[in-house]
Amino acid sequence: MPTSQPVLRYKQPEKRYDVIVIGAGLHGLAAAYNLARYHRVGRIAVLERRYIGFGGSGRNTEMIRANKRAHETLPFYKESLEMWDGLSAELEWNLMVQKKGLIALAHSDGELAVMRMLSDSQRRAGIKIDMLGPEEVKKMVPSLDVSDKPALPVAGAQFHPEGGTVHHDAALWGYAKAASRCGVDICAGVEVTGFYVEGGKVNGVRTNVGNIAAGKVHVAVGGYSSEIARMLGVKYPVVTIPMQVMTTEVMAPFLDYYVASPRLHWYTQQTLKGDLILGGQLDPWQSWNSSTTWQECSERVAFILEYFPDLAHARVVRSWSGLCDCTGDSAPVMGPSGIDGLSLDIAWGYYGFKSTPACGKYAAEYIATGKVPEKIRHFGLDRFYNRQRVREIII
Amino acid sequence: MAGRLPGCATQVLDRARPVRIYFQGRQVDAFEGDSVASALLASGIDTFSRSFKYHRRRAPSCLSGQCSRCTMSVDGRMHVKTCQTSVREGMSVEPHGSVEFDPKSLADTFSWALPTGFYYKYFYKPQWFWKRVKEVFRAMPGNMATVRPLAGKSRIDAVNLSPEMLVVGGGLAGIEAAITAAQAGVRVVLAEADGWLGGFDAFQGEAGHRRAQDSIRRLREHGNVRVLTSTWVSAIYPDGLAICVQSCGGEGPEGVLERVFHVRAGTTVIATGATSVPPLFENNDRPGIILPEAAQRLVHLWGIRPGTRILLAGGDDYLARVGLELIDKGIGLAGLADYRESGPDEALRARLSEHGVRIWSGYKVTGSHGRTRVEGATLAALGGSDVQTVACDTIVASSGRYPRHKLLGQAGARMAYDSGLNFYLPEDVPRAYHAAGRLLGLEDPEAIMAQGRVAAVRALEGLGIDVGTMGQEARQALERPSPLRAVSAQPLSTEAGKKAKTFVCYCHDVTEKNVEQAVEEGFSDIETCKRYTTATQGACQGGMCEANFTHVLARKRPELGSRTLPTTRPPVASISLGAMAAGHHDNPQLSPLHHVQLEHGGRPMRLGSWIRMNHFGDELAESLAVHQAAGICDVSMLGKFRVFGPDAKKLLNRVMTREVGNLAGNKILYSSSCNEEGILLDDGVVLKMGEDDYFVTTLAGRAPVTEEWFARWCREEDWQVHVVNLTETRAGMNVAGPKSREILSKLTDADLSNEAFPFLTWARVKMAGVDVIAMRMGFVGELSYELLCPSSQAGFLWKRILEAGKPLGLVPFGIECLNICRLEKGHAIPGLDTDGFTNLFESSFGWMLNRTKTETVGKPMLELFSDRPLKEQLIAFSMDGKSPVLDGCLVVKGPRQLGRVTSIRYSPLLDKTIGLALVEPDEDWREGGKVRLWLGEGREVEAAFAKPPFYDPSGGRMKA
Amino acid sequence: MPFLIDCPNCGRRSPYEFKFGGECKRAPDPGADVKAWCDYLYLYENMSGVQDEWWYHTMGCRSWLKIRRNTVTHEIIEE
Repeated sequence: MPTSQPVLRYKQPEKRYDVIVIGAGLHGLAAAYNLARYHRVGRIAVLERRYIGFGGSGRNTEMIRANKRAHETLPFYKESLEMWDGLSAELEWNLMVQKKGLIALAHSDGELAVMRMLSDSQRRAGIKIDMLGPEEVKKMVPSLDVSDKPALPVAGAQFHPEGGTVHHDAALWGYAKAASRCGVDICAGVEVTGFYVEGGKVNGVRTNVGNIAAGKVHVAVGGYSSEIARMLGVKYPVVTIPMQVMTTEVMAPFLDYYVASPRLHWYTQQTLKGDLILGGQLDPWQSWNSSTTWQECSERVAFILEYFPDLAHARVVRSWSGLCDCTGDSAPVMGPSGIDGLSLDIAWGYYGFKSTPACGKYAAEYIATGKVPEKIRHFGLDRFYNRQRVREIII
Repeated sequence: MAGRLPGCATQVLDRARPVRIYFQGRQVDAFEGDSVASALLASGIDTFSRSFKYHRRRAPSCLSGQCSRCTMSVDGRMHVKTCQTSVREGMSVEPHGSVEFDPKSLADTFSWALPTGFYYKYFYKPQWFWKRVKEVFRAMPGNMATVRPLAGKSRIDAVNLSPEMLVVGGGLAGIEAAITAAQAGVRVVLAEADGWLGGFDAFQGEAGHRRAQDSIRRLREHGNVRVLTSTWVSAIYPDGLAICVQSCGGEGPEGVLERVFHVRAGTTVIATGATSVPPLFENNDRPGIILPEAAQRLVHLWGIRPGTRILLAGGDDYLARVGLELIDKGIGLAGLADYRESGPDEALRARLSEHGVRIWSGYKVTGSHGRTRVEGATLAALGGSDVQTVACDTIVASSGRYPRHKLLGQAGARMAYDSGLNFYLPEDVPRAYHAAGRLLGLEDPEAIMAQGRVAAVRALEGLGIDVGTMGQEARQALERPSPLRAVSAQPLSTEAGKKAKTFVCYCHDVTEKNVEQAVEEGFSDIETCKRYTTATQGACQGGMCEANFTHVLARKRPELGSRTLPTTRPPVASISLGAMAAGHHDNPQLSPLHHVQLEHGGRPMRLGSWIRMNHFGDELAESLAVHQAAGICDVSMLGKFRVFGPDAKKLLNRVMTREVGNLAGNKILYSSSCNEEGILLDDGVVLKMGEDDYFVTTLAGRAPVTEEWFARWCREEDWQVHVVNLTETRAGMNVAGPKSREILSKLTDADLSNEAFPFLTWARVKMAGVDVIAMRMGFVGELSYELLCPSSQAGFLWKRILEAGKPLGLVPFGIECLNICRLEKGHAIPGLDTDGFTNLFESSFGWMLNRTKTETVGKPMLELFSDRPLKEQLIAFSMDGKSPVLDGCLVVKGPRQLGRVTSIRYSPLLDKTIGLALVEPDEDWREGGKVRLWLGEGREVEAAFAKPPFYDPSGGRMKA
Repeated sequence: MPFLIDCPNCGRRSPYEFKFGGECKRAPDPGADVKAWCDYLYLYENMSGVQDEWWYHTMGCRSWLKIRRNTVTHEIIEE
């Protein structure tokens, strides 16, 4: 049996690194790990102003899926979904990957049409997808009300069998542990307060514990990217919006799948522990405040209860909220920043968690080679200037 | 436990009214006033639940709704806190799972194999193994409720209240605060979690009872205080909304189960009290180990002996006082272990000794033993080697005191640890919130009451209410008695290295060793340690374990400095999904023609916020009738606006792509609108009703968005323009088909001839006596009149038109028929056939951009990109006969995905399937080109690219 | 302070009665270049702190209000 060996190892930063990654969330740690493991780039540090996983990495719904819309980017999400499979073994840490299957409900013919379009795009990208009728959904989720009692009855659904969950904290600590073992310095309590940029090239960062030199700096700060932008005197195509989630007391297993309604913005799943995770809607306004609100939580619950009426006496014990850095086209910004040596992995909105393995891989590849990998080609900042925005939005 | 004590004034029981409840089918006798938990305890039931990970026996330890150990299923409702649920005749109580015999308790024996985070450390490969193991994991947890079909919907009410002051907590401080505010004349809501008022003093023996009753009596003198008992204030949100959930136990003829009060108070006094911290020693979770407050509740409220041989353990005088109360009730004590060298206060010690109570000063409890409940305890001398074993059937123990701070935390206060007091005190309490009572560490009743008044005075002053001399009096009163703050004991803990478990978090079975191991593995700050061990994340959300958790962490990592508490998040007390959803109703919009259409066989469907008629039985027949005779369709959901004022034209020229200025007479201007990116948003018509007075329509269902959009485009201007939303006051119906003129002529004297009333003009006419604005439009491709009339008269007009039209073949038609007919004409609908990326040029609406006017929203972007290739375009295609292709089908070309079908319908008139598709530009989009539709791997169908319209290309029929 | 919006027409109301209309920005001249227009349309200051922003009182007077709000604390700063 394993003994108590350090899983998380924090270091004091040195004065000089070859690569600095800002943000010890999932994306930052994954990039650092991939750099250290698969590329020869020298010394790497991950700087974190709070603690490992403070931001969205610790406040998400653990969902993994690849049923996005744009056919240009589906291969990226497909690869990321597939990468989760081998990751536990690679990191020697059980990430508790559960490809339990994701059921997305449609409530009208119009929604079914959209869902058919999405399903066909996804199938053509090689992602396994089925369309289900209400009765088939009922067989899979017996507690779901598919009758005409809800205001918007279930008209059908899309089934994404490879979708599911990964324990977010497990993934975070798995990457942190593996990165440390590959020689990455993870430095907590180190807040980047500015950049050294000369002649369009980054030379290092200013921090609360002194200056740190580096020829390459990678920004993976999740919902906080606009704060980095202000240090650089630029703006990013990002608005920070919180998303709220709730969890209940534990119940005996009754829900085997991740069930969602894109139309009504709710989703729910039962974790291994037996509690339900409930959520699904971005807050209606920009905010950097992660309080939850009654209006949002109660509306989500009201919708979910329409479809799971037997849960009327289940009890919510906790609600929390994470910041999502949202772009107008629901696609991220990855790759060049316009400053030499400074690379971006930001604007992931609410789909950053599921993209972690592929982001780590391609961010590292870009940092190491300076060439934008094909699979993240569509995520550049330039797309906002040439009408090449990614079509992830459905309406 | 050994039955009931004689009745006395402090008890909440009505012994004249016996109640029977059923525990696992077995009858349990109780009295009115009992909680389910007290009834079960009185009848000798020891085990209420099994623990989460190790399936250990658990029983209530707090009896105040904080620990989750007493939760059971009551009358089919899961996770009910039995300690706060009153008994009712015939109530059925079931534990969650088998409690007496639980084979999964083997997990307790093999726990050595389950170190902290074992699920991360094992099972990472091979993958198939994890897939099996996780199914075992799913079935393992203890105290899991089972989701069962509910017989019906429970009645849960939602109520809005907006008092000047909300007081949380009905103890002495809360009551005093409420009285003070009531005297100042403001409305007060006082919420108390227990079923009675009095708080801590309700169970402090007769002296406490008298104090509480006196306060309650004075409170009752005020009519402006609304007292809500059995009510948890579950959360305070950033907008100041407090959610108070009252459990009503199925009261009244309608059986109200819960009532949710949404309270928006001007100011809030939080007097939630303090609670004892559970002790840390080996096997500190055994049934029979309870907090001193729980012992007092049992004795004083429900007249129950907690045990017959009770060991008291802790480090402050509170335990000695509780011991004397127990002696007073004739309950046998095994002794008192006080970890202080000096032991209890001199006077208390003398009185205990008088009764022959053994006192171990400088001793702490290091462990408990027993089978199903406590049978004995081990004591050890602090700093010595003496170890003693004491036989006892109950341990009443605490290791300090802890404020019930969570609401205060949600309101925005920070809790700072005071090492001198071993207590957390609030800092930075936001302006609208005030703390009072034992929550602040006060112990003296006089001080608590005075401080309650002071809090209320400050709160009232914050509201700008003159409190006269009350403020001064209250402050003076607070100075009189010594504001004694209780110095609580240091939490005790075991030495490391022992085998048995010392629980920190009871909900998730996290031991002291687990926490220490986590710290050693690098999870040293409270947030990561909390996540790694899952401590404080169970049903009690830290209520029972935060104090010990932070203590263990601080001891292990003293270099981390001051103790911080984990972030407090709503809810404070778990809240049922039913209570959360209470008050939500679906209110779809109904057209004024909704009911009259149902009478005529309309099949309703939800479209956005509206309910519309999909068809009236046969959409194909309806479409043929429209082409051959006539049809009538409800279009009331079109947005309808009057835009008037000297600057009306300026506004319309901004939001419309066409020039409004040239509009004259009774012409109809058909226009579209874009956003600033040039993306097509909407289409509609503009009529000029008079000088600077326009009537504008927008797409169905878009009225609220349009209203906001119009307001947005003059929000920074000093314009005089008024936008009046007439959508709900005006109904709309489209009468279309070659016979429509003849039909409508029967109902009006107006000249409807093509000469007098040509295509794309409008007129005010009286039809069947109803004032109507009639517009000649051509959406369905036939001669048609769109009639707008007052909503109140719409049903009447509809019926008259149907009567008049019936002999000529007029039928009502729905949106399916509308879709068939508009596709025959190749008409696109913005937002349906285009999406959030389609600009005006890429849709079929590009011709509507006036290139000379500069103020049009979206025009700069359209112009900047006008010389670049289009990203996509809207094309039309057709296939012979019926086709299986549905809306949303992909348009492909080999491996390329070009776009999608946005609308496709079969036209019985043309015996063709006609569709529109939004696609990338391609060389195939020309006469004779093919549109390939993807039906699945290796299955494609071809359609012919075509230039619409497919029907009446000259438009002669609609202009007839 | 509770997060409530002071509507000049309707009084202090819950933000849930409003639609958030984004940070206040100034549009470029109609004749500005692609860069200026795309910067304006797609980039945001996305302030973590005090910013001026638009709110529309959907469930009230249905007018647009300019509000100065701290996006971290939700404090509304009175002019």
